[in-house]
Amino acid sequence: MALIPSLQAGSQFGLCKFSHDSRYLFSCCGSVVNVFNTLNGECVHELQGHTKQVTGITLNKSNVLQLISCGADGLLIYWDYLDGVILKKHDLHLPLCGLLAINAEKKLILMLAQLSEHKKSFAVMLWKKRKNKEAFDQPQNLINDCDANPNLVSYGCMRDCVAAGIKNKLAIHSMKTGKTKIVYDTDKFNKTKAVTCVACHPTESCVAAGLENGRILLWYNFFTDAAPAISTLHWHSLAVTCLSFTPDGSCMLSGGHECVLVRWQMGSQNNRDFKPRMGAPIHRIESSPDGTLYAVNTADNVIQLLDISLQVQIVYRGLTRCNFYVKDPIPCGLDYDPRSRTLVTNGLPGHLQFYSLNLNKQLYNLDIVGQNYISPENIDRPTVVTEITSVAFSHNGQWIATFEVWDDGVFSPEMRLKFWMYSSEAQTYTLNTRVEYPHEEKIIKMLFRPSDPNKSQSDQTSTLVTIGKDSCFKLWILVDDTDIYRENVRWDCDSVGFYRGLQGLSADFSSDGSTLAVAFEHLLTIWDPDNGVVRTTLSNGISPKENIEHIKFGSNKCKHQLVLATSNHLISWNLLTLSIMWSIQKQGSILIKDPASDIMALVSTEKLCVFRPSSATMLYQQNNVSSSQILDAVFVPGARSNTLTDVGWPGDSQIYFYNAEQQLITLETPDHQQDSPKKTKIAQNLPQTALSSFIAESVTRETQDTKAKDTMCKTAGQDMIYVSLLQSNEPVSLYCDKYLKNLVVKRKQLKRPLSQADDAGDRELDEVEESSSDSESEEEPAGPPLKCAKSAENVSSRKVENMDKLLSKPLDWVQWCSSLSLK
Amino acid sequence: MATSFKKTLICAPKVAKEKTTPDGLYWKNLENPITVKEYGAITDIDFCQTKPHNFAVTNSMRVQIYAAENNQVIGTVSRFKDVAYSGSYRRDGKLLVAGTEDKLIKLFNPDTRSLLRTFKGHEGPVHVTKFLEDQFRIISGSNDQTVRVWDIPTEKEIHVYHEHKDYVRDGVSSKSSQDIFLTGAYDHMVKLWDARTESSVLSVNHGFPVESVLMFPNGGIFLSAGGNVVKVWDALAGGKLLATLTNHHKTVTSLCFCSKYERFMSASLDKHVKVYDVASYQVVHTLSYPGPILSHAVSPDDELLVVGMADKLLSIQRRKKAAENGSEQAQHRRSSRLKGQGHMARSFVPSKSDAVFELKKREILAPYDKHLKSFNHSKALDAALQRRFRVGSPEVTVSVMQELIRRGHIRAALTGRDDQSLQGILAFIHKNLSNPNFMGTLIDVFNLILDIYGMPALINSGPLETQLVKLKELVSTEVRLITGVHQIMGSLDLLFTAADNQALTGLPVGNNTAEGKKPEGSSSNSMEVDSLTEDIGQPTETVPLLQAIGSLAEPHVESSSSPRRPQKVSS
Repeated sequence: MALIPSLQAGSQFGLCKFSHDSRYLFSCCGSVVNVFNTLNGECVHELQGHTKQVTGITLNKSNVLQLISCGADGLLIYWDYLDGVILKKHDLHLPLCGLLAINAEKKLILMLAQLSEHKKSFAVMLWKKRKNKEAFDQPQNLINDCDANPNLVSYGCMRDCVAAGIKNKLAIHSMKTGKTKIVYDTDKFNKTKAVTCVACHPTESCVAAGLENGRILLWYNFFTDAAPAISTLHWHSLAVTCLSFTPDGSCMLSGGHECVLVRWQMGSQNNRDFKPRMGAPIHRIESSPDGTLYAVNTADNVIQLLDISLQVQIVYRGLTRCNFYVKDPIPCGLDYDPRSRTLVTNGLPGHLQFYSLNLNKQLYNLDIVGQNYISPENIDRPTVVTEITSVAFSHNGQWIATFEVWDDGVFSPEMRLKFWMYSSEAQTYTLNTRVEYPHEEKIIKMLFRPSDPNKSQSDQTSTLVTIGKDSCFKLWILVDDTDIYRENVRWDCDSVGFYRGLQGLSADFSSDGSTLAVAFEHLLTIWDPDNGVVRTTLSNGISPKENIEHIKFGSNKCKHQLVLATSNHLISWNLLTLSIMWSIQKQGSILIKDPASDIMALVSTEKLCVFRPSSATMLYQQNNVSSSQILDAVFVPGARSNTLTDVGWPGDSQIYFYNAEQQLITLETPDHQQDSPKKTKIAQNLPQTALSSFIAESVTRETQDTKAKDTMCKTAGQDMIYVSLLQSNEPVSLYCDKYLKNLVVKRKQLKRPLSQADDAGDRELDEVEESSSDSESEEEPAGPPLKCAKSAENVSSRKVENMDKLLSKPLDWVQWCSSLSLK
Repeated sequence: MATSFKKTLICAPKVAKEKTTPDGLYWKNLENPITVKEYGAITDIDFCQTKPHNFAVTNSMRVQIYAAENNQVIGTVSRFKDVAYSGSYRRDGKLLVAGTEDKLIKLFNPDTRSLLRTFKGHEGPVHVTKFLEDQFRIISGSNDQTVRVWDIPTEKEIHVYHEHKDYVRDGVSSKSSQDIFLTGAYDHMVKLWDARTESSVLSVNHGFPVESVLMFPNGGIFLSAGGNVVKVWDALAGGKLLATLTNHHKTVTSLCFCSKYERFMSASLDKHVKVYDVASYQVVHTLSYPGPILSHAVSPDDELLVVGMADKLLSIQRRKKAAENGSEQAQHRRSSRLKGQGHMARSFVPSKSDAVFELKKREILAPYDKHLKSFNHSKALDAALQRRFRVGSPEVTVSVMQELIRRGHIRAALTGRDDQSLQGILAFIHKNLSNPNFMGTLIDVFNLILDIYGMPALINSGPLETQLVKLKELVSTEVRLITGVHQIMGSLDLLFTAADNQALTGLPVGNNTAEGKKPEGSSSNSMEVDSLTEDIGQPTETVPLLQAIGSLAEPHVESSSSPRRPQKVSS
């Protein structure tokens, strides 16, 4: 039985509407309509029936217990939202983009629809129902050339007018007279600015339009007067994204990229209320029929219910969409918090979001950075926010380490490593330690050391390893910081490690925490984390040109195995025999391991491969997990139901993927699909290197005699590989004392002739002294001791020169200073 | 989600400075000292245990009694023919005893100052006189090396102990037993006595001439001071040394308890009084005085700290009261206002149709945060450059600058400033540029100022030019300094690594030795060795070990360009 990708979370809230008694809130969310209770915030129903995006919902005016929705699949569905059942279904054969109004008596339906499947043009259309029949007449286009954005069309003005913003103009169609009028602003300042949102006043002949430049224009009497009266409201500094009138028409609500909800009192327009710091740009505002609640949909995939004093009452959260203006939505990747059994990734700017898989909803956003989100001055040039680029969870969930960066490329960057401790009293994480500039460059990876189950907890110090772009890794340990006033612990840097100045790329601790493996470009180093000693150095086994991107230790039975992923290969090292177990050509950008079992998975956007480190046989493969790029994936233990354990891979860990569309995807069995399990043993691709012959041998013989070093030494003509397999590589520190001795010995030699010269006589002594002090003036050869002295002198002088050269490396400071002196 | 305004985070760098601790605050909360000049060195101060805790100050040929309420002398006992010592109160405050240079012990009524008894028998000046806990006996110690116990009613000598081998300098009676007392002498010995026996019960060697002894009220643990050392002993464990405290650098002269026996103090000739925690024996606070201290005491209610110095000065410090009262009053005012509201709320019952609004509590924001909240960036910078931030807490100013940089408004905030405000900013930069925590931000800001205003405009203005010249000097000094530091670190690294390897020479020259791994000293430290690794690491990849070493030993190898000073190495 094959698994199929299914969307776990991440669909975005679209339009929302209140029920007639304001007790329910309907919201389009992907292809379903959610019915929320407005009193307790629970999701009552998920109305599933559309196959594509739901684009519009409205209440049936003749029967307020019916909800009508339309979708991009061309369906118009009548729902009984209390029972959550479909009453009627019409197929209108056109992709529908918005539902404006339905008049049941006249059998009229006003909708925004795409003209055809392929054309990118939209129109406001009117469908008339044939008498006594369930079919519809051919629709009538009221306003052409509309935009697909439902915020740009509105219906109102005593149920008479439809208004649509078309570029910088506004088209208003009267239903009664059937006339369409185009109005635009005569003010030259606003004339060329595009209309970004439109709203019709419910009780007056008035249409409001928000412009790109943040102004709101109000047109009055557009059908009666030749030149309609216009008034301008200005508070927004960026484009207005949504406008809405309250049902009684006394107030207008507007929102924009400033994340501020503005309530304008109609009539006294300088009288306005603000709700600042809504968290994200506002997408849509809806007010309840009795006017006591406002539903505000913000870009972070949240609907907030505000009361009339603009206080937040209830919050409906989806998977937070992060980084509204930046390409990479989750720089810190996807993590699993073992304590609360939640998935953790970037949330709001500077926040981490915790998504509970049990409840299938987002729990909360944890503020890591502690800075206000400031909307950009210009949408095209977004402000750089402090981003959380790395997160690590300790294995019991007690600690979180976060790394945040602010770097705009112009000013000096800010970098911070923070350690958060979970306090069970406060039920939240509290900041324990803050380290400014933990590395000189950014941290690319960090992880906690697992504790050894065989040792007691008190024997083991909690350790975190961080790998920085400054080609070194640091070990941070938890130290006691207790004094007589309080008990406290804090994190401190224990040691710094580096290897040949190579760039560290990845690291992993063995499952018992006793060994640390760090990948330095194409080399793999095995360290003892307690003593800070390199135990051995291995290569990637392929070529020095391929960097090791990921390393993972096996667990359980595969404890001694280390899996490396380069851009093209997957290699498994056996650390007991120091030999390569197997190596296959496989592309994948993400290597993950299951914390509960010994299986691992290599994930790329095209393919998922699940395997054991012990053999190159793939346990499970799946193509086309996601249509868009997969950014990260994670194993979640215990998340698979029992029925699934015989499908796919062994164990009850489920894989979750996060893609570029900010969706959380998992693999599940289709309910009614009975296929034979797709389990293929893939042919092993031989890598195109000199090592290929050897690897083929090694795999067939399995682990019988894979003393890699011996075998390879026998294979002739493959020097290029052994260059990187440097178990005999000498650490540079060994040369230090040799070098020093070199210097010291020569000085002694200098003294020895002097003592000899004492016996010989004064004349010789003078000569020696003279020549050693002034080597250039010396002309005649003066025997071996003197030569020695001379060379020593030369050495030292050259050393000094070299040292000066090194020190005069162009420091930023020096440059700056010299630029200052030039003035 | 809607949130409230987050205050600007002040990233205060960790600097080695005095931490504010509860104890520090407690002992700083003292009024300015009242200083009294006396006739002679103040050898002893003793507080009366009963209220109002008057205290007796012994100096030269008199014992003065000070009133605790007003720090005034309310009586002087001057019926001494020679120098008086160790004026001490009985527990009930009704008797006062003092020894004299002329070998006598005199007992007074502190209220009438009338002489009640005179004890004769010592053959040397009596430096220690204390009441025993039963209130009817006196212990005394003298330069005749004896410790004696006297009966007050009969004026008779009960015991003479001849065990000390030198002048007896301090004694204290146990508060838990009627018969136990402790003396310390210049023969380095501290002896515990039981007045029922004929010899000492316990004696410990302090190691220095003992100046002062102190006993915990339960009698289990006692302290001795002498030399620059305070030692803590466990009497119940047979005189086991519990702790040795060497926090003073001159002779410790006096010990006393404070804060209801939760802390104790030691005073020394090095002009300091140190406060210790009785549980951990850690110093929690230090007080400084103008002269070498001979004696000090704290009133039982911790209200008064009296310190007597060798240069005849007596310092009396009272715990601040006015401020506390003030805050209490303010609190009272606030609470009464709240009560008023509560009263209103109770009397007015909102009807169903009324919308009830809670009074919003306003968070108090710093001035710069107020401006940041309303996006007045230039004003925010002005507010952060106020004197109290600029001078008192530069990290605030720098943090606001950082916040402005993050918001992308630093340029706007810096433009359009007059010479005076620019001068202020430049002065601030000059003052704080050498702080490594602020350096990055300040360089950015300074570069921006140069960008905005341009060199010529800056130079044309006289005071700005001097500022710039100063800055330039600072920068070159800084560069020199950093270069020097790097040189030293480089050579030290070399030496350390060589020393490490020397220690490892017993091991085979194998592949399992540490490479470039060492405790984190500083980040630049590691950078240095890093460059070394780069230099030498590469060529050795293909060359066999011995060859590699050989080539390194040759003076012509390029890789020897690491920073080190051969002169230093060979010396």
